Amino acid sequence: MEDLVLEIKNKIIEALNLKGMSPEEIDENAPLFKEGLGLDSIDALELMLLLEKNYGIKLKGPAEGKEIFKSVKCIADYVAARRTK
Amino acid sequence: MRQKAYIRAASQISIQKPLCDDWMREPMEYSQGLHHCLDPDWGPYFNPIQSRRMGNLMKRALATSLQVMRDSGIGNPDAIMTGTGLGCVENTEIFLEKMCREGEEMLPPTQFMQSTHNTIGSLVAINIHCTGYNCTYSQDEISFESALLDAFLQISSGEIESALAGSHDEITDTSYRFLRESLWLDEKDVASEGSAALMLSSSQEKALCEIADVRIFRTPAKGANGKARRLDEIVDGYGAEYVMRSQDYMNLFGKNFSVSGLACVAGVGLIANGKYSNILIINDLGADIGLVHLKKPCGN
Repeated sequence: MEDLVLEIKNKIIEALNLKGMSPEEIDENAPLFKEGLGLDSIDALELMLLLEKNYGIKLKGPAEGKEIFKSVKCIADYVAARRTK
Repeated sequence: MRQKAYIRAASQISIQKPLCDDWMREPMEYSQGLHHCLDPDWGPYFNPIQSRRMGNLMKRALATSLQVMRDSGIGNPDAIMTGTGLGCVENTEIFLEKMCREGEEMLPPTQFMQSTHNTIGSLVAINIHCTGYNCTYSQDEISFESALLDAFLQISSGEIESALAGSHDEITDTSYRFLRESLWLDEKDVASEGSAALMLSSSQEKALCEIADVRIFRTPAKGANGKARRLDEIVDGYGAEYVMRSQDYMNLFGKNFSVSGLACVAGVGLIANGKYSNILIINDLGADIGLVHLKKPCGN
């Protein structure tokens, strides 16, 4: 799971263009939206695309992502359970 | 009665030293080819999280806009008028490349949203919380004059009291190649990019100069000589102390669709520094001619 958390952190940095930020700076348990990284609804769309492209997980819509995108740890748990690639 | 329109602050990011007037003393010289802007440190304007979705053009547009807001003391203009010849070229290319490479199934929303021309004006409005009039003009070489004319007319008629007007263009390797192939650029040209922002106000307080006139027209005379003669007659009618033609300011800023906006920033600086009291900036790059007449404010 640690490897997957690190992988997801790196993919988030790349997909959201968080230049100058390292994986260590992202707390895997911290909220991604509003607090923490302070992401917004457009970032949520980018994260949905990230899951589909890299792990074959297609979310029905942003509402479903609300629970999954709570933190990096939540994303990693969801990916580990549902990934198809 | 027509209200006067004044420029209270002007700022630029170009191939000259950015966000200051220092370059006017010792301007940098360039030879032919493609030259990108000398970008400033973005730190004083936005943090990396805020700028994570911005391309270079948007960073430059926002930084020049924030600078004129700070310099003018006008924190929330009544309107935003933006000129751009080609819009967000960098993001458009990324989006199209991904579409070609990965198909139309999973395209990134950020590049899609930010590949339109009016992204620039809307990004500035969102960041400065301006909910007023917002309009983008994409009219090739006279995009800047079109945006400035809108601001000038609305201030003159009393519709608004302040406006943020600017012009912003960027160049990439691919767009440079296309502009060369279309003969808009030739091998001797200094191909460049740039952002110019001006804060206009109906109040003379803290004014750097007055906008006496903004005009866009197409010379009716046929042929190159006829066009030049007709233009000379119109220019003479303004009785300007100093006339800046496209070729003059392209020696400083290179050639791009927003270069006349950069010339206007230079013109404001020349009047504010007391070098001239009456300047006419001519944009004769394309078929449509743009004129911006700047004057020292009365009583200053």
